[in-house]
Amino acid sequence: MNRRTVCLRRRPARSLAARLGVAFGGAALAAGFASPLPFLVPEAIHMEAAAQTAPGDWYLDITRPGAPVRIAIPDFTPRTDGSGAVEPSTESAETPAAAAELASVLHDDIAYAGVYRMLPRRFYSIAEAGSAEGALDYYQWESVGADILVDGDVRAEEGDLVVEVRLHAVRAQEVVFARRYRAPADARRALAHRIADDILLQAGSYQGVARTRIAFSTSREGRRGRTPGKEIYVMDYDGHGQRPVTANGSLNITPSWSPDGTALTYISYREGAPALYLAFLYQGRGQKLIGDFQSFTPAWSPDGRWIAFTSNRDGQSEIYLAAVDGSQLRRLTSHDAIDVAPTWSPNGRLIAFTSDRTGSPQIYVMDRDGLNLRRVSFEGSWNDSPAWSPSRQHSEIAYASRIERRPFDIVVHDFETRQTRQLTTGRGSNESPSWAPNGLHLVFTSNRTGDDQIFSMHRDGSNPTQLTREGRNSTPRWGSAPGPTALGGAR
Amino acid sequence: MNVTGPDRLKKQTACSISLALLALVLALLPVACSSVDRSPATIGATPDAPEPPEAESEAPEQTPPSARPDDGGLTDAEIRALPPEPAVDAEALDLSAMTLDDLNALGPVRDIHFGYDSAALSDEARAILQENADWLARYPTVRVLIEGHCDERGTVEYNLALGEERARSAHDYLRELGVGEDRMRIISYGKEFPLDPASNEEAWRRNRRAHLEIIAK
Repeated sequence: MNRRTVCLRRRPARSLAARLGVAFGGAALAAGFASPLPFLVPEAIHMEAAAQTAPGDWYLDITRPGAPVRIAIPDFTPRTDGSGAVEPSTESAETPAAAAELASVLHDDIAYAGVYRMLPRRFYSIAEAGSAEGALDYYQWESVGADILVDGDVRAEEGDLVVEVRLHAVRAQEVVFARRYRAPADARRALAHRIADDILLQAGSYQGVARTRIAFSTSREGRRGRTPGKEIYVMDYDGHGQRPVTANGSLNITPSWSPDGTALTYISYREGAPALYLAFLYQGRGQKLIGDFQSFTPAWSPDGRWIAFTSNRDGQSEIYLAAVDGSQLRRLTSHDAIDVAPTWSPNGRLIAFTSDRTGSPQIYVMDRDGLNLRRVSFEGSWNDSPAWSPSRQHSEIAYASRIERRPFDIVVHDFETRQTRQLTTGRGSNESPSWAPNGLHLVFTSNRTGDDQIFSMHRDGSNPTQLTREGRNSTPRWGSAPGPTALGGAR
Repeated sequence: MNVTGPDRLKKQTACSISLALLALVLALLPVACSSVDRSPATIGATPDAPEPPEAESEAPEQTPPSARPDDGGLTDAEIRALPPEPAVDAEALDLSAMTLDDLNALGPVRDIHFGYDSAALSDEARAILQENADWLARYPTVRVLIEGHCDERGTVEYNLALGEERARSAHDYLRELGVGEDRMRIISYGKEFPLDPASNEEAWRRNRRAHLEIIAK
């Protein structure tokens, strides 16, 4: 393990969790259970500008009006040490593999974002064949239709990978963006994701999702005892790196991310009744937050200070609000019907939820103090699991909708146009949508391939991608990439 | 077989004879039982041992204390007063000799079932809950966890609340029937805990249930 990683591990992260620790006070922390949870170790990726760059408005310069921007990402170039001396250590032997994998993951990340047209790979060799050995020939790349070219050098250094990445505007024949990264050799994918998000942000002011993660509930670990077992897992946005957050053999469901991507709240049956728990992913620590009565479907507020959830403490399923330390409990709904599955508007002022107060489950919106209730869904006999888009551009809410007793499909209601569009059609039953932090993709559960599995898709319903295959998997929630601030600003 | 004419008549007669025989056997049964049960008394020639009580009129509490057999078994009247169904009630359960798993496997309290997207109790569900309440009245130390479950067709989130409503329906009706609130807890599993993993009407019907799990005896 890289020493920088170890260093990060020891360092108390000044994340939401750390701030919570202060807010709780020592007594409250001691009172809560502190069972060890599997650790997530933040990837220690060091980044620096490698050349003078002017990020900003060059994007427009290379865009030919009316034509998509085509991007080429050939394999990175493995280098030996800067001296040029060949030193056949195991590290340098792995460098060519790393160079290929970095470019491959980067390619997939950029393609997923959908903002560029990917230049077909068969054109790479044509452009490279026409270029002088080891040289970059802008004319050759322009002749095969590339608008943007990403190239990179990779070398091994003390167990780390050091990568220099350059982004070229092909016709302008200039480097518009260059950065040097240093990361542990086993963090190739994380490094590529980081590069992808940097390129998308710098080159197109586009908030990428390559470093974001998806939490979900899975049956793959089996059970202990009579009740079914489901654990909370976390995976990268592309389905890689699936790893457990809980390991108690009980039923653990419906996770919800803290806005900074470092913690989850979820429901666990580990002590019998379904109770509200927190898991601090980078501290390997968990805590029961609300345990009396039954709690369901928690949702962390966008400002990180509140958790909305469902409880039966007053005899019916109602929506409640509690501060993240479990205090200031307040009830928001009061109706002799089911009220469940709250979701926050991006500004935190509104809460949407499901209620069957008119006889069938439908989506409603209220102010965060419980006032000003209005109904959102009018079509369908069963609408549930609302998810408010975090997008600043689109004011919309996704939910699972059923016409009569047909399977569920994911639909999106646009608050501005008051139109509802359907994203999935007729392929299994599709439910529990959750938005990517940039509001441009969704994850959801579908049984279209048999058992319930997790899929992602674009916000227009295109590019459905299966992310899980092992066990039954449900209630995915898409979380933010834990940024440097959230992880202590150590990098 | 196509039974006609005299054959049918013959068969009906045979049936009548069989029924008469059965009735005779049933009538004699208490006597037979008593002669076995009370054999120690007979051997001991206890002079004031009472005559076997009349089958129709006797109730257990009316039986004189001296009627209790020396071996500590039930008296005839007690045996006759026991309801014949269900089988597990044929004699009192010795709860101390059973584990909770044994007891739950025996299933002395039964599940009730619900309609699609409904927590309303059907007449059948009420009848089963009445039986469950009767059984719970006989074993006042028993406590139950009432689990609400849903079929797979609804959504995860709403079903958690629907399962809760189903458990609460069963809970509230049992309370009306006199089961103490301190003896019941409710929990919802939504659609996370199907009894039957199949995807068809019969499986869905079985999965829309409130299950009573005995958690203390």
